[in-house]
Amino acid sequence: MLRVNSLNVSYGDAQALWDVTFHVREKEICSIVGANGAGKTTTLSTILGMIRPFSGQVEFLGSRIEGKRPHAIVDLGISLVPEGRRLFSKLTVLENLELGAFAKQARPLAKQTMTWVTEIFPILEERKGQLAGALSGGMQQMLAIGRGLMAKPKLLMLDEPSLGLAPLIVKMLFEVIQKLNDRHVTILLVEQNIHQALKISQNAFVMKTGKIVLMGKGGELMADPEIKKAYMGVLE
Amino acid sequence: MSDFLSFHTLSQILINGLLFGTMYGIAAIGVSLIFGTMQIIFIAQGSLIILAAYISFWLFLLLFIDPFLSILIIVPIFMLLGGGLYQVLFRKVAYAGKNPSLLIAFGFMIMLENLISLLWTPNTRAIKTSYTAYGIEMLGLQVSFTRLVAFVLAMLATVVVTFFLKRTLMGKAVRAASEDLGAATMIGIGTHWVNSITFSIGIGLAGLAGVATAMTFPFDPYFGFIFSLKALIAVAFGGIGSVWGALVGGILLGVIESLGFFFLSGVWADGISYVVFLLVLMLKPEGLFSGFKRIA
Repeated sequence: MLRVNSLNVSYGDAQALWDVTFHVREKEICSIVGANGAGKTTTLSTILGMIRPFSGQVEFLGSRIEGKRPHAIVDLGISLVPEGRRLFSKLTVLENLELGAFAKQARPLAKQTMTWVTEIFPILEERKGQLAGALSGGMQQMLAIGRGLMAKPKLLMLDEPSLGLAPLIVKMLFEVIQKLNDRHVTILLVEQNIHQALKISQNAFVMKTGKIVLMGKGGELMADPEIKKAYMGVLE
Repeated sequence: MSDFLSFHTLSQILINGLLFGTMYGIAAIGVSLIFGTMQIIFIAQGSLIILAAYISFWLFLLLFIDPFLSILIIVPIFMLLGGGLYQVLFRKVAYAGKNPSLLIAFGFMIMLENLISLLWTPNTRAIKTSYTAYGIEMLGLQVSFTRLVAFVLAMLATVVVTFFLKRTLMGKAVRAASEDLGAATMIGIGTHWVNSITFSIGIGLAGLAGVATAMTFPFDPYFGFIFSLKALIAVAFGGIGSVWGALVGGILLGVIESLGFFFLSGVWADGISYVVFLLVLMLKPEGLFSGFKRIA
């Protein structure tokens, strides 16, 4: 459903992405893994239209989207849960969710979507009057995902959702991602938590200094000796 | 001493300051809203207020439209003007950092001042209606009718703006964008759109403040810059981003000036407000009322 074709992106003189090419198929979980500064977040930002590539194409559901503005892309059904959550901390949980459905397509359906989201995250219903900034880290991540879902995305992009969360919460989080996928939300997951990410994804890409260096099925990559050595801290 | 400063006199000073300060307050709300999303001090706010004052002066003089009635004409026109102003002057430079926007606002202010003095001459003007000199006795205090009405209008405007920001989806989007513009963009809130809305409200409030000024005080084309400075001080008092804070900051400034005017002299009134401004910036830069719950 998403085809990224030889994407080149630079910040000023520094090129951040080099010929990045990959596909995300409908209803799958696809992961981009790799170390800090590998270009994973840049890739997501470019897909969402926050950054303009200087060459390459992004195609979503058959139409070209590179160069479109973020609100137009969100409207087409791509939603990003950004790194560090980026919630509106001075707004309530409910207000954050309502704003998630700001896109034109999603707005008329906001009420129904809200029911769907609070069914997945019942805790958000309980805390709806609280300020988002007052929630714990794990709950903030749930709210960030909930806000992303309010846009009724066909493709949900999650940027480092497990960052800074306690192991138990991380486990819950990956269960939630799996659950969302079971409900037919296509997921593009960016993670440093490679082990967990590969375990739940059908396809995965490894990025290194702005390039895709490896790709394969989630399980295959997990068994790859190179990956084991580089990212999972397995001793020879 | 008791003859010079009775309780009665002091109350009279306070009430005058309070009523005058609400003008600063409405100007400050506009400045604060625009600062929230654009991150610039919209320095032309005061000159737009004076423009509204002159328009209502003209409407009154040439078409015999009562200032109260002209509010209904001027505020909607100014709201449209605000949105248009953003689209024409600021849209192109919205992503180019703060300096271009600030310079454009400054240039626009100079242009307005000169346009106004060209159209209406630099002479001081005032609107004299049948009720301008009318006063009301309240608890033994003389309160000017027009100033009291201006005060009530300011309160109403603040309530309406707060309602918009707190209760409507558009208002929530404005608050979200002023907290984290990048995140707002990511969830599909158009930046230009939010900026247009804040300009529209800010300039609409300038229209209201302008008519209220015209009803209550004499004005000239160059008073606008002073007005912008006073609005800025009021915003600093109230803490940036707070609607009620800006209003209360404006009222506080009005009271301080009124006291300074009485105890020292008119010459010192401005000086005192700048000294207090500096003190606030030095001692409590986050605003006097921070720590209370923020409204917007």
